[in-house]
Amino acid sequence: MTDVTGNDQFDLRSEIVAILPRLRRFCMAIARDGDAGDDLCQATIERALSRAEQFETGTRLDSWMYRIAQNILIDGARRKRTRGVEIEADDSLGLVGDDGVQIVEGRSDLARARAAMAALPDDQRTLLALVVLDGMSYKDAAETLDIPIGTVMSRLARARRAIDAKVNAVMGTVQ
Amino acid sequence: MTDRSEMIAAFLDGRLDDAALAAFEAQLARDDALAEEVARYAANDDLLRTAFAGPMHEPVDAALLERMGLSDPGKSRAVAPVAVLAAANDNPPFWQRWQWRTGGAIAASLALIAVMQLGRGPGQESEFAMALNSAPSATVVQLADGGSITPRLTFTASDGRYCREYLQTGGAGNETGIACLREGSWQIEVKSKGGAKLPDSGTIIAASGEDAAKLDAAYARLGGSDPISAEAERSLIQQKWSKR
Repeated sequence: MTDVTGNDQFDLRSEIVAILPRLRRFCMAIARDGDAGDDLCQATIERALSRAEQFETGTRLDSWMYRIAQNILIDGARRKRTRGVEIEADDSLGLVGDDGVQIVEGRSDLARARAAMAALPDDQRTLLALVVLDGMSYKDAAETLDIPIGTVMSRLARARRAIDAKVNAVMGTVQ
Repeated sequence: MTDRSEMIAAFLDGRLDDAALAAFEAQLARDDALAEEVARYAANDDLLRTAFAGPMHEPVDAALLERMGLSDPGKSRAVAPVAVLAAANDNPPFWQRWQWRTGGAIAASLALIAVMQLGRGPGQESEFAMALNSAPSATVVQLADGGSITPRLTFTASDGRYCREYLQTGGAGNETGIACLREGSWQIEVKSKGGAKLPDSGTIIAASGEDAAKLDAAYARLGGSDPISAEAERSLIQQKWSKR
């Protein structure tokens, strides 16, 4: 309790453990696939622990961690672009893959939902993850993403329209 | 907010005020197409929640903590690693202790971690009561003396009293305890030393050995129910723990 820095680190670690299921879900949702989600989550935790002193006690730990995850994702995408290996986000990407397993999975509702999420622009996907998956209020989501609340509302509406179009338009068609 | 899909979104997210909600519901009753659209959007939301629910159901165990870089092996060499402690006393972390019975209720309560500051109270004792009265489980309540109280779960004893397991940190070291509510005041049923957080790994673990036995004996004596859901706990806090 005397070593302030050490104590912060100690508390932060256990508080991260307590939100770990939600953090993993958030990472999985914004990273476009489950495995990449856990890599992102691990990188997020590593960065958070190394910058423990930047976390302000009394503010929301989840928002802080979500912002870190989002930044790592943006950095990664930027690196990929400069290396010229980024794959264009095709609408069918993730829905039907090269291997048979993915094709079979692509026919299930849940896989369709995940693919619809993956096909959204980054800003819409992140917002859906915060509000629909995590149940965050518009105000907290606006603060987490540092955008006006009006933008939250219009962006959410756009995201939901896009999800609806994807989830319900491909219903019944086998690609 | 005139846009139709913004209205639907706000409705689904519970962000309409009373007047707007009444107006929207009236519109829903008249407009079948709108009702159909709202139902479809609600189903889409549910589908998304289910599609990404995986991590919420997986146990937070030593293997996961290690994979996520949260077990800190460098520092925990000084003390037994969490996994070893758990194996030695056959006493898994508190959320796992309940998991097989609750199927995720604990995960739900853990989902609400937050840090709470209490208003200045006259002393430690009333801060203790305030923490247990007002903090949802997994909320770290900071005390004026630099310590903290974290309610971990809420259950009903066989005599009908509400009880809460909590973790207290501070000058006297870490303590895990169970307090039950009788006539408006929280009575401590059991207290066990330490065991709550390993200072060197920062990982929350259950009390070990003798202390765990003390806690388990108290649970047996109180005839504790499964922990109540986060939602039920929230409404108990709102109604100030009164029996309906």
